[in-house]
Amino acid sequence: MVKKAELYVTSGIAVMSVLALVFLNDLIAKQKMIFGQPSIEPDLFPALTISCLLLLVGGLMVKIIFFAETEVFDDQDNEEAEDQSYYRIGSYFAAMLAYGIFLDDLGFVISSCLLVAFISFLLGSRSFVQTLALAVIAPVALYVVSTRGLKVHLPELDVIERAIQTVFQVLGLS
Amino acid sequence: MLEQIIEGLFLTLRVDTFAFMAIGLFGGMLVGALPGFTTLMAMAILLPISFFLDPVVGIPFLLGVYKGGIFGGSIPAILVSMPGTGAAVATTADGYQLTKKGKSRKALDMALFSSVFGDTASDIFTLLMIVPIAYLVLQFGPPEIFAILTMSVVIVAVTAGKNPLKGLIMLAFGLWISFIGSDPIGGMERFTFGLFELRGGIPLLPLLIGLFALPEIVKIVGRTNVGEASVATILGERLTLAEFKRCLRTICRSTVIGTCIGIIPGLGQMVAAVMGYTAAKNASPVKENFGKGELEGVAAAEAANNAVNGPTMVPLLTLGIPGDNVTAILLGAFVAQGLRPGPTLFSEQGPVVFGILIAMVFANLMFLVIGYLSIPAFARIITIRSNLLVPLVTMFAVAGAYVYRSNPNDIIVLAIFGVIGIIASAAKFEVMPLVMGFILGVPLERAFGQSLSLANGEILQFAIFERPAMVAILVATPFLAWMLRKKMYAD
Repeated sequence: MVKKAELYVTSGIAVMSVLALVFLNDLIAKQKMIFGQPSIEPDLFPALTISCLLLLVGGLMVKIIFFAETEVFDDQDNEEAEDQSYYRIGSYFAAMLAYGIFLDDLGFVISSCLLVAFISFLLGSRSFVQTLALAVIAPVALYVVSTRGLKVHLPELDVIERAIQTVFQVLGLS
Repeated sequence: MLEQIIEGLFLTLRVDTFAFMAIGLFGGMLVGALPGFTTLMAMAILLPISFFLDPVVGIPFLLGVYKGGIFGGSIPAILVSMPGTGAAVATTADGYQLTKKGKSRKALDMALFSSVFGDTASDIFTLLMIVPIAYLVLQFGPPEIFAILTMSVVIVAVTAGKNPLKGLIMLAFGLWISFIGSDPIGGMERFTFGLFELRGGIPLLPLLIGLFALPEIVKIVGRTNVGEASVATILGERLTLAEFKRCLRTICRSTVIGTCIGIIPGLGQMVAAVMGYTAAKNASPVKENFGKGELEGVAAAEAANNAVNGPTMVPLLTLGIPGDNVTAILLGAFVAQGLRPGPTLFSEQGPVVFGILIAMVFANLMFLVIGYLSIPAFARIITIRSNLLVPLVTMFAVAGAYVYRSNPNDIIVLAIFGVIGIIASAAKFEVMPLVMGFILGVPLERAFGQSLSLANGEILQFAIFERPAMVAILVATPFLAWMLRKKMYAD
């Protein structure tokens, strides 16, 4: 499992490095000769680094393919990695990306409530009251501390911002 | 210098500095005490909070998280044989045996006192040594800076994991990522694919949270026993003064070991703890008791791993080189506060920097009080279920990546680097060299360009006859890296 993953990663980096070296002139803008000859061309250091990277990746690939027995990995780690719930991890990432996409539109409090509730459920929490309490209290508390205490901007719907403002006014804290 | 130290002391003596340090210590101990939740994760997630506070409040807050987290990791290591952080691995050997003998309270007290002793001594050393070292660094020109930066990144890469090739690959990959944006000398666009959003380069904060926090969270999400909790109890009497005195020699030895290791980039707490423990065992007349519940074993490991904390600030503040992943996060905090680490930092922002260093010493005293009173409470924290904490940690991580620039694209950067971190972890590649390459890519390239300019086309002649120090450092680099690696894996 690890050997395969290593091979995929090194192959991926090797392909990227070769492509970068081939198309280096297109990926890096040419230095303008306004103030005379520059001390260093903008592509010199990247070209050196990527060439070194390619050499190192080549060395590692040779090691993985021909001398794989020298790499000793913990079997327990492999089993753990294989036992990981890909469904949960995939859902977790999907929820995080959705959070990023809808954060501006739904506002911080609502999108965070949904995120917290979803992840709690995903990780096995089946107590409705506990999940609801966590999903409501934590985002509201973080929003209030961030915007009032640390003076940080977080995107929020006018309705919710006004509601929080009203609560603060009632409590005499605004 | 004395004036700057006094000015720094007055800058630190603020209620909010102490309040935020206490919150940081408490938060760090909380996270460190939770198996699976690392100090690194906590620091990456809480980093954005420090941006919105004064430097003498925000950075001590993060230092509090760091110090608290390192000690917090020893609580589950002693009580349930499950180190909360990597630094507590050596503590497990004797700590858990003491718990089995019904002496867990003694072990926890010893861990606390030796941690505070090691940390305070090394912080005072840092405070006294940092200016002479910065003055020495000021005498360096671009070629020497280039050589030192190269040495640091190579040492970090080679000692980062079992396979040095993998570390070097990640380092080169990190350098490549640092090229995205504008080049540091001519300002020309590189690897932006015409995207306006990439012209400013990859933002540091989402990269750090993505690489350090997300893979850890995903590991917890992927576990099958995520809703289960461990059982921990504190038993026995408190540590006596006689027991502490008996271990004092060991604590001092470990403090020296940890301090020396802290100055060298790339080694970190785990190496210090293991080396401190091994040295204590070798020096002890009762070697056979180590691993079977010897208080000295706990003292040696804890003093050594905490003594690393202060000296890691020396390469960070004088050269801008983060010695480990935690100081890489601290570097982000310094830069965001407008404090650019380097030899001129002390002449430009001396009082603020000394204020931060003095706050580190005060943090230790607060740590002693908070730790002594709250150990029983933290022992119960081990039993908190992850399914309550992971959603909150995720919310902090994503909101944290967003707030610094209020840019939704940063959440995409966070997810991309989260995926890179997870893939790297699956293929057993360490991410620390990547982060080092990314952070030091720009200064490295700038020093390289300036050195070429100075050489004026006669590179070899210039290097050998005019800059022998640069040649010496570059020649010594592979040997030093090999020696440190050998020592590290031998222990």
